[in-house]
Amino acid sequence: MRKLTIHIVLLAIILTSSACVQHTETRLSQIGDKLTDLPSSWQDIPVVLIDSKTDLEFEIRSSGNRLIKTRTDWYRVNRRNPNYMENVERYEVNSYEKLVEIKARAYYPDNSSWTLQPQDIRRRKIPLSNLVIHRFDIPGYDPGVLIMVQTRHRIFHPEFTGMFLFGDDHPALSRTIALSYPVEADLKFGIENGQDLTINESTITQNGTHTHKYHSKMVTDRWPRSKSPFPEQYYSALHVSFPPSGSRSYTWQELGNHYLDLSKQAFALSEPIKLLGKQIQNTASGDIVDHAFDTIVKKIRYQGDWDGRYAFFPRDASTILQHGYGDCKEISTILKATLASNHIPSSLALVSTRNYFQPIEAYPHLDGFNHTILAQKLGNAPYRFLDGTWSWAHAGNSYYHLIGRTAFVLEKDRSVLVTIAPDKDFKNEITTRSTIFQNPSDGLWKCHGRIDLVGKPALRFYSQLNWRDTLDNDAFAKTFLLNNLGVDASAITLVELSSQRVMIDYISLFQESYLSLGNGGFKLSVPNLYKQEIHTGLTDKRGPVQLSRFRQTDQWEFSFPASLSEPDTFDMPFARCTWNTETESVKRTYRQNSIVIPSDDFQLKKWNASHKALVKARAWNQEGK
Amino acid sequence: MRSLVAAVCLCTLLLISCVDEKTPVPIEQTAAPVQLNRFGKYGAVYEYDEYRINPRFSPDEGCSTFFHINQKLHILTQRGVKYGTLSLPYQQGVLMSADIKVIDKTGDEQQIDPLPIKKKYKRSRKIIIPRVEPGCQILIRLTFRDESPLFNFEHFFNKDIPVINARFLLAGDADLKYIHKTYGNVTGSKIRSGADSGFEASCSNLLPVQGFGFPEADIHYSMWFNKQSPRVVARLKRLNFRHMKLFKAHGWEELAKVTRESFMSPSIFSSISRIEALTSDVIKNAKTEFEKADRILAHVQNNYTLESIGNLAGFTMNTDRVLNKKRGNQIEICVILKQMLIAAGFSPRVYATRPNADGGFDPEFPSWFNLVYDFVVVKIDGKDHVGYFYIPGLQLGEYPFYLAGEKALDIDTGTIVDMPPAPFDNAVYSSTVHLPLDSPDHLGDWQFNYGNHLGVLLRSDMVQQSKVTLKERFKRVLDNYDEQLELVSAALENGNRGEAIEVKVGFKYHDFETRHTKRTHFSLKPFFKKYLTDFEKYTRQSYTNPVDFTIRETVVIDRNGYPEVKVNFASQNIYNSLFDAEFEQVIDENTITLKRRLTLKKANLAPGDIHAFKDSIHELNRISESHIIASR
Repeated sequence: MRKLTIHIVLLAIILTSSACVQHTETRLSQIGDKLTDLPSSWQDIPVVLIDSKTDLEFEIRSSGNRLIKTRTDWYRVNRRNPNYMENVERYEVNSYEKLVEIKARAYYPDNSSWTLQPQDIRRRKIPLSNLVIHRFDIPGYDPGVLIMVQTRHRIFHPEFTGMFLFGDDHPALSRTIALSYPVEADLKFGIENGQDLTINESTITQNGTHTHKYHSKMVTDRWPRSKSPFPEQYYSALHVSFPPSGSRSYTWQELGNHYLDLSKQAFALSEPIKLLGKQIQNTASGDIVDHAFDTIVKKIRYQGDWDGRYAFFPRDASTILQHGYGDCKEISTILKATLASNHIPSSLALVSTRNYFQPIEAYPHLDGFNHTILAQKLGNAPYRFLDGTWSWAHAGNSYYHLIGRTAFVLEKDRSVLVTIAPDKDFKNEITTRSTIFQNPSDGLWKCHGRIDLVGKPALRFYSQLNWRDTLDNDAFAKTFLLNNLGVDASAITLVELSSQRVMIDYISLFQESYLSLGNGGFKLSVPNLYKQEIHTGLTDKRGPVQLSRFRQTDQWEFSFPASLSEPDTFDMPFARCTWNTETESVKRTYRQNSIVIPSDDFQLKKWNASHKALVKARAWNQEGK
Repeated sequence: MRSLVAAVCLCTLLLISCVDEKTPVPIEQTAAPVQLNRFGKYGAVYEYDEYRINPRFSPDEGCSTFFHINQKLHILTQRGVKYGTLSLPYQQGVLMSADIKVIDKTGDEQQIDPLPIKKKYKRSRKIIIPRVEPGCQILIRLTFRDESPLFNFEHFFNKDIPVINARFLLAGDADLKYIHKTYGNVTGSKIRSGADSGFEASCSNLLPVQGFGFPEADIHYSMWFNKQSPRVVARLKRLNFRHMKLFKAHGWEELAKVTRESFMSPSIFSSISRIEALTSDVIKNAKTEFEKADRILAHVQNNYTLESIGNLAGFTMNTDRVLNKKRGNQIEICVILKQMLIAAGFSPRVYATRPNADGGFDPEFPSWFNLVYDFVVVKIDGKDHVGYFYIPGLQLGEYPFYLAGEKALDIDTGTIVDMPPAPFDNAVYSSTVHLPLDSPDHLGDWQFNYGNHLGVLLRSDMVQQSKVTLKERFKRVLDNYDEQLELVSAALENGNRGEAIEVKVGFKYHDFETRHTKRTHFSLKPFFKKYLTDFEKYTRQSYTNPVDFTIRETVVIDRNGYPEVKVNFASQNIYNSLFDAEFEQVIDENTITLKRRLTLKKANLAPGDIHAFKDSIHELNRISESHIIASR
């Protein structure tokens, strides 16, 4: 009997392995066939994905739902240098998944092959993080080598994943994403096709499982995401809302409750927090929220420890206080707790910072959020947002860098997605005044100027100044003026310096703007328009461009009656520039509205090309020197 | 009489040694009153920063070394709180004790629980101090124990923030024998404390170091240290590590011998014939000796992946393994290159050195620290050429500027040699702008020519970073110069091995022309102007420029339709020890040619020294503006 069992097992092994070999050979032959589709323009790209497939198998379980994600990539090496795929790295986010299997093979032009052995995988956990890196090397990495890498992840918190991109670091000839789930499941999912890929969809139902397959060809490589402030609006992806339990996708409200349930211990009020709250109350001279913000920012420094669950859930407020440091969600948590001890309600809000992928409203999931701030709502007024990691801000302007981003405000039974908008006190203004005079000693034209940064530019100046450890205030101010307004100051006086307002007096040479034509005149090109608000880097962009509400007023004063020759009218739906002339001065007023606009919009392109021409204004001397 | 003389001599010697050795005073007691305000801009300052090393040896228990860190840190402002997380200069082994006190601005003192500190250090190798706020002082005493053999070490005194008093001590029992050397303004003396003796090295008022980058080619290189950076280097002698030749080597000849025999000899199992076959294939059809050697170098650069050198203690060379895996550490790849050159009939030698930025190569103090980069030197037609395999794209003879002028150890002979002359010892960037005056849209052509070191670096950068397009790269370059320039096109020419790189950029100039009745005013800002204004930041920092950097600009303007032209400046030159600037204008019948040349010279300036050049910089800025008045 035992002998028979052994024989059956052996036979099964032989049959299975021969089937595997046959399958691999068939697959290899299919991949080989696809190589003929490789366009000539891709042949110099160091590595190309010949075929890439992501299989998502959703399982409903009473102990908590699971997602099995299997990704199989076939790479072809075209060029050895740079050696992008020679050292393969695969990540495991251990707070919500386990990388259960890695397979890799290499097929060489001489028909030999290599198979990854488990002992060749080097596993390393990144300190203070929830990331484990699995690394291995591909031997014989040379042009013509085909590499197959397959990873299988068991995801035990499927709500933390939900966005599956078609694009990869390498361009793909063929890309497939397949989603399988039990027929009783009611999932929200769909394709957001910002790249306008041709995506073929097929659906089959078999053995109680629905399988949706999405296939696309010739998918270009993913651009570094920093090129686009809203990458989720450009890159094509499958979005799925996997519920952590049950068979139906959660709503944002339910997802909020779920997150709060998992982190509720963090918000409990302890004696030390109550004491801190009382201290804040006793020492506050104005708004208690402002004072609490200042106190927490000074007391709790930013220092992340994202080990295990703390990548997603905060430690409790009293532990954070005891440590004296924390990451974004922990700083927000202690701020929330101290406000709560003063009976001021507030909520944590998950957000994704500029240039990172944001979730899409139709598919509730927690994938993509990388930052936490605090949201405060008073009656029917819009939310007020506070970012305690912005150390150099005050409570009122700490959220400026997140304007336009989507925040997921976490409130029991009322969690909601909100776009962070400027509040009524939002300011983004620059006012300059330039008095032009001729230096009696050397006859050179000079400028005595004042630059007043109010609101957002002041915060930028102040933050950058404080982050730069090695530059003194005057040197930094000179560099800032030169880089952002084209002002090359020789002497600087910082008249006012805070995160809300920065006022700088300066002296600079104006000789380079002097025009020795007729009675003489000046190019009004300095100060230029503030680079941070008008410099979009448009040619690099994929996806929409975001412009902020901004106003800049520049006034030039002369010692003679001036007439103005100004550039063509500058009047667009979202930006306008006007010129005014008084007896001895010229004033330029530039206004820009807040807008999110596709980067290929013709109005945007026109604006981008023509704002450079604003510096073509000239002031002419009517009297002669 | 003879014994009397001997006794007197002995007494004298004892007396000298007593005078020579002093008992170290605790650094806490040596500190002078500190005026903290002047360091406000840095956010934090070390009142004192002391490292003490106590190596212990025992024939039975082997080696163990105790590292003691003793610091007092003042957190002055909010920007300094980040220094509450300590990055330690080197791995010290196991953290044995952590005695940390935080004194807040009211004077309240908190003793920090060492257990969480130790736990976190174990996971992160960082000392993360809790409850750090502006105005607080932190007293830190850490002790680490390391059981790996200690044989030599180097300690740099500079930190990210200023250090008012810095000290380094090495002390041990009678078995401790060492040699050491100090650099920069570090003072040293022998010490004795109980049964232990050793030395201390100290210095004061250290400011952070600032590097200098050239945005021109989008290649940034920083120089953090140089030969005179305050530091101490020490090497222990008389150790009993029988099996570790690495630790026993003293003197250049021994270091070279150990390197040669223990690390660089191909294993007897390795197949030399395989290297010979490979070499024969690589140099097939090469016409000259130079071409042969360069092909071999290119093969090694393009086909072998450089890995970290790791621990050399158990290292054995196996060329077959490197050939099979096509990867290896610098020693392994250096041996492959050397063996291939031998197979091609050359007689290559291996040199090793250290760049100035890491402290330089000190021929007077033999130590492993000086042997950072190994590379091959091959003589062709009586001239030495460096085979620098670390950076793909570098031709035979080319190597990075930061090694130029250094001394090196010839591993094959054990002698100190000069680095073979680099094909160039400066960086050159030149551009030619072509602008027709009658162009309605002011479209211009701009030809960048990256020569010498910049050419070498840009070429290798282009080879390695294929994901950044030329257009993106040059859009950034144009933006760096002037907001008014708009990129229209960019195309790369040449850039092959050994060639200078040329990039042709088409652009539109938005602030070029002003018309007034019959006359028109054209203005051209100099493209290099940014450098000179950026110098401002060195008023509080030291300024280091490691290489002569020359920028040449030629602007050729077609006079089409403008018979009368006037240019606002005459040919003029400025020369000083920081830079040379030359301006020249040539006006002929059809064109106006403006030539500007700026050479930033090699320099090491202390903070504030740049002030002496302020007037020259302003003069340069003023005269380098080019204005043309033209009339039809």
